Amino acid sequence: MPCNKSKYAIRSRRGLTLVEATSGFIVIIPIALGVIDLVALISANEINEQWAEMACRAAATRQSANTAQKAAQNCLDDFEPQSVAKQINLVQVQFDPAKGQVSVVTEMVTKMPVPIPFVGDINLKTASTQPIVGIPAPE
Amino acid sequence: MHTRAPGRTHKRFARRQDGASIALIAICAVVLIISAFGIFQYYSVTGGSRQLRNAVDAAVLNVSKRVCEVRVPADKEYLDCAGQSKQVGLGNINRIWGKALLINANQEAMMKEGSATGQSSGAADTAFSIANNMNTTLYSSLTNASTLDNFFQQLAAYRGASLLGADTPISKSQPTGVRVAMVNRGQGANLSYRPTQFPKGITIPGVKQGSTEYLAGYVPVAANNRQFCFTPFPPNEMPHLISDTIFDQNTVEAKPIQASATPLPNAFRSLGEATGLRGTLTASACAVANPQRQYAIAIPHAFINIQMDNVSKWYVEGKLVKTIPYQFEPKKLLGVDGLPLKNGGVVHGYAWVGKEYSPSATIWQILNAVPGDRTEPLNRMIQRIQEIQPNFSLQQLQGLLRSQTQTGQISKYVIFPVYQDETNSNPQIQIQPINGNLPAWLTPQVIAEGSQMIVAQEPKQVDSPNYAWAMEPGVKKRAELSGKYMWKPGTGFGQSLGELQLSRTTEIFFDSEGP
Repeated sequence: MPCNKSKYAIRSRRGLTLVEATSGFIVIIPIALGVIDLVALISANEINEQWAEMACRAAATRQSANTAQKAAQNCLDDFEPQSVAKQINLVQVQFDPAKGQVSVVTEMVTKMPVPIPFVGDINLKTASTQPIVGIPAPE
Repeated sequence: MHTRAPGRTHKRFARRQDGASIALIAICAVVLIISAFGIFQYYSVTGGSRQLRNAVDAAVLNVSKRVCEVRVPADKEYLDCAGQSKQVGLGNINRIWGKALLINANQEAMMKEGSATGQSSGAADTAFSIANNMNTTLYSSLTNASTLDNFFQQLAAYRGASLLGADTPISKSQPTGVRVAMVNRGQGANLSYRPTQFPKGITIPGVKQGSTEYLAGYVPVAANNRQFCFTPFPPNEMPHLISDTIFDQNTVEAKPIQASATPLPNAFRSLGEATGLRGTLTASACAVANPQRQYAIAIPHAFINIQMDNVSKWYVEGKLVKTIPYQFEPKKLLGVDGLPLKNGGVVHGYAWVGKEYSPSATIWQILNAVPGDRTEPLNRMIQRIQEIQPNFSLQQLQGLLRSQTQTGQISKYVIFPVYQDETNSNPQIQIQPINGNLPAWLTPQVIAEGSQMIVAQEPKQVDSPNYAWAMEPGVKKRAELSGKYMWKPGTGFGQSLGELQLSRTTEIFFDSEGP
């Protein structure tokens, strides 16, 4: 029955393509989603670094640890949450007049666009150090 | 002509179709992976470049901040401007130049009015020379590559360009090192002044900011045929980053400074370099320094003297026969004791002197004991005291002179500043007798360098308040009281800014009566 043979052959090829496509998507889709997450992480890290730098510069213009902490916090309060960069927290302000430096550590709560199973939000930490310019030169 | 069996052709076609999806998917996967890698690499380079720029910004800012810590020892003649550390740096060098400027302005004014001497000229020369030496030494330290590189590295060590590779350090780019420039030209130095602080006829170019005038930076300020160069540090500014363009336009090569061969730089530039797994990147930054300390131009350790004396001069028939000093209290004197007159008689002449003074008079009362215009001597005193305390006023001088009572035979008083701390700022002006409680730094024996000149004279007061009489009849007698104010200016280099001397003389005349 040549007609039946041909029908089976077509059906077999379609099935094979489906299997190939399915197995291919199983590979490609995670890679593509991974790329999306990677871009999101990179973007969030860049944003975090910029905010840490700004907060540190604000803290560097102050004359005491308390005011430096407030200045850094005030700076971070201007942060507006985005779809990926959800929140930014001030982790630490080290104001060291003896060394003449201030260091600010910030943490950005990042929501992955493609959630990774069993992994929630990712917290990115970054630090910045600046010379304290708010304290006048010694007499 | 070639022919193929249909079954064979179909088999080959079928084999190609079987692998088509897998190949397509593999290609997509590879493209995706390459894209991801490309994105990561791009981000690493751009992110690393940003990290480097931020790090170099911070490191150069650290240079401009810490450069104020570079100091050289202050000469003993300028210790009063050097603060607790007794050293001179960018923060207080303008104070040093300010004192040198005042000393030279005093000398110029003395030359103009003819009261300059060789000693005053030498003092002004020495003041300038010492200030210039300190400036040159400081310039060498401020442009020392090693010192500036240390400041750069001090902060760069805490920063890195991690995106260029793990633990990529930032280092100063060789061989350029830290370059310097003189920015904010024409803007205010961290030294305020009042035009009234300078002697008459001396005009200083300044910059007004609000109600305060500051000496202009990197602009030639001339006094006593010399150029003074101040470093601009605008008030209410912190060390901050500036653009490369501004820096390049203000290097000494691009725009030389006329006022000084060794102008102290206030801006710094450095190239930073980061070499990581993904290559080497460089970035540059420029920053301007500001010590954020304001001073008023002054000669902190200086004083002026007031000396007062009275003398009675006795004349018989127009000839001076006796001179007797008297104190600041009324006293009856016998000045002529039986001297012959032209008419053959003798005279025993008496006089009341010191009647211009009331008991326990203050210095102010003594100065004002006789009618007269004292504006000039008072103005000269105020100008000189303002060289110590810029805001000192006539009212304050009156209050000061009213607070001091003349006691005993003391006739010399010192007006000097007292400071709360070693910064020698915001003095309180006090007055004490020459043997009173004076500050340790004050050397009362120092005399003003200039030559003395009369600046005011009191009109003669005849027979009142002092008067004369003779025991014998037929003797004409007359008592004339007059005073003169003499000013001996000082440059301030040796502490003395001037001496005011009030000399009052009562001349008593006895003549035979009639032809």
